[in-house]
Amino acid sequence: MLNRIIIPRLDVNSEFAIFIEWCVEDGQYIKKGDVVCVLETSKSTYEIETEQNGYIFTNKNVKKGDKVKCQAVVAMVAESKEFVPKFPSNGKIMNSEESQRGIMRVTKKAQKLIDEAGLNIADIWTGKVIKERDVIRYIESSRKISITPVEDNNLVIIGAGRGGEFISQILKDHYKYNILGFLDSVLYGKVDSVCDYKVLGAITDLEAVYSKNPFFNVAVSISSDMRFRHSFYQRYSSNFNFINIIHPKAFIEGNVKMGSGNFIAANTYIGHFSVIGNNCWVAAGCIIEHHNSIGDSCLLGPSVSTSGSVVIGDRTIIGTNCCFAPKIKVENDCIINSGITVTASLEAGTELKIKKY
Amino acid sequence: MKKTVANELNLALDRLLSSNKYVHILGEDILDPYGGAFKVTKGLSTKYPLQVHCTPVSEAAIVGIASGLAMRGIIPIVEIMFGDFITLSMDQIVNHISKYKWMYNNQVEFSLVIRTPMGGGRGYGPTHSQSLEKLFLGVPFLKIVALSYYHNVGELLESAVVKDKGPVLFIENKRLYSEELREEKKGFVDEFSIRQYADKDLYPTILLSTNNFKETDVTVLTYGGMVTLVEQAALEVLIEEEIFVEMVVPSLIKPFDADVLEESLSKTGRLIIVEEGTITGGWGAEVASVVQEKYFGYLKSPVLRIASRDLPIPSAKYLESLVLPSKEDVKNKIKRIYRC
Repeated sequence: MLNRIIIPRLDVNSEFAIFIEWCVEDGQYIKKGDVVCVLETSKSTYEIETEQNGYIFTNKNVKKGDKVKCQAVVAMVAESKEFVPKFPSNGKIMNSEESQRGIMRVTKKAQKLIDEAGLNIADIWTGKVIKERDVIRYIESSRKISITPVEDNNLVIIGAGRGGEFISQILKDHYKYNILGFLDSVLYGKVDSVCDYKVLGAITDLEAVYSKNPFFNVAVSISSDMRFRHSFYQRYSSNFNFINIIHPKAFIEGNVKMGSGNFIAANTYIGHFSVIGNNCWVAAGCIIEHHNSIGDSCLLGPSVSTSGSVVIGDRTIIGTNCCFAPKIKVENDCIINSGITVTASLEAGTELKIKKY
Repeated sequence: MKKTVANELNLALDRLLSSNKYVHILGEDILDPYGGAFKVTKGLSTKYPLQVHCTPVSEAAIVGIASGLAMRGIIPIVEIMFGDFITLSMDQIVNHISKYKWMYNNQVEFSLVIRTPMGGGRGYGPTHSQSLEKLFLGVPFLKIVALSYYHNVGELLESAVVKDKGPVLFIENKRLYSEELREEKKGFVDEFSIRQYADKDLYPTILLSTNNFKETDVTVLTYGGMVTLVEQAALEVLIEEEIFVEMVVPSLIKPFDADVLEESLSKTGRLIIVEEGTITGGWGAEVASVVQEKYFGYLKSPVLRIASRDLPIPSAKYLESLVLPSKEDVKNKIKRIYRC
């Protein structure tokens, strides 16, 4: 029979005890009533005894000075000498170093970015939980690009997901670029090619891919993560040519001004004297009327309609079928969920939702 | 000696007894060597034998005597062994102590502090685990102060005894007695940025944030022993979904000044109130009502409450954990309110 030696609640007001020492050796044969270890609470020291004869196996994680919580398993007593103990790692034992130094904690969003960029957590660690923002700041401060591409006809598509497939078809049908392939952090290594074009590497390998196959033109197909799209554009737009992809069925008036890196899908109309910034994604069937101004890195879902003289700030995300009354001003970083009619101007960072409570 | 809540209260009582011979402590079983059920008065009866009095087992008598003493200029500090027994002194508190100053046309001062432990989580069962401070929310002129380990508990007790000239019900969550006070280091306590709400000198309100008081998603208002749950939940939602939580921890829970919430609510628009008493007719209900009257314009979603279920508290640890609010409850509600 197996017997676990568990830290009891030593007095009503102590959640944990401090481990002082082992009184037995690992693998030693012990008898009922032998003292296994000594603990200390805020009041006094306690000796923990066994309740049966057998071979004792100690938890190697427990060292002098560690805090052990009630219910922590510190040792096991088995009848057989060949027994292999498995101790649960449920956070009931806090090593003295850990409790002083603090554990390096990372939010899941930040961990994703760290994995994508292949960073070392210890470099970013400042003593507090690492947040997404910290990682972005670290990447932006540590990365400098030293590439100066020469103009050519080669093009690489960033993102090989559904957006990538879709963009590659438009480029194939209506443009004359020489498409080298995709860069995608998730799919690289899992699939060789998407829509007959090779997956050349992860997005973070951009410089490595460039050194093998030089290219000048970049088409970004990512629209699900506009923050990434924005930071990518910020980092590389001074070196590479971010092409405007405009579907031939989109109708854009002659005097519309447009930056670079934009995607305009079919059936979209952009009226006279409108200005579109850089790096925007305008889905199919949008109506952007005259004298509109749309900032950088905006996402407009399908069938978004804006009346005349609407101003939309940078990094704004607008869902499917949203409508804007004339002369509305939407400041930077707003999020407008699908199906909302906006009839008043919005402050920076506003998120509009239809309440479903 | 470690700076635990119990030790700090003990030191504060020691300072009070030595600085003023009119300070007296009354309670059951508070003499040495036992020193009180939670050892808060340990050593005091040996040091000040004339000022620490062990009483018969009658809460009505203890509080009644204290009320008489207070009217004659003595400063009594009453210890009710378990908060659950405070119902026995209800008549003295509701009909006498809280009204006398008004009834006698301000001719009497009433420096009277009733200290009592509340809260469950220890497996003490239905009559030793409740949080009954909610019963006193509607009693005019009575103040209710609840400590947490973010407050300087010694100072809190001293201001209740010395500076506050009215009756104070001083709630000490029994789970906190063995906890060490959280000390600020360069504006941080562990992962939380900490600061004190500016205006409240006598009974400070502590604000904590997982994002240095910048962009914040959810405001959680709580007091007493529930801070432990909320801080764990706040940390976990930060790691899991990067939801930034701001905690508001008042020490004066009645009369509660909703102004302390304004700055945080103007950023978040989402409020969760966490308390340990039963949910119906509780502190959360009162605060939610005040908040919606005052700050409806800020609110993006309904105010949510987390509290014990409307049930007696079982002794069995597992069943008890089902009745009392849990960390998971807090996490789930934070995630839910964040999405609406």
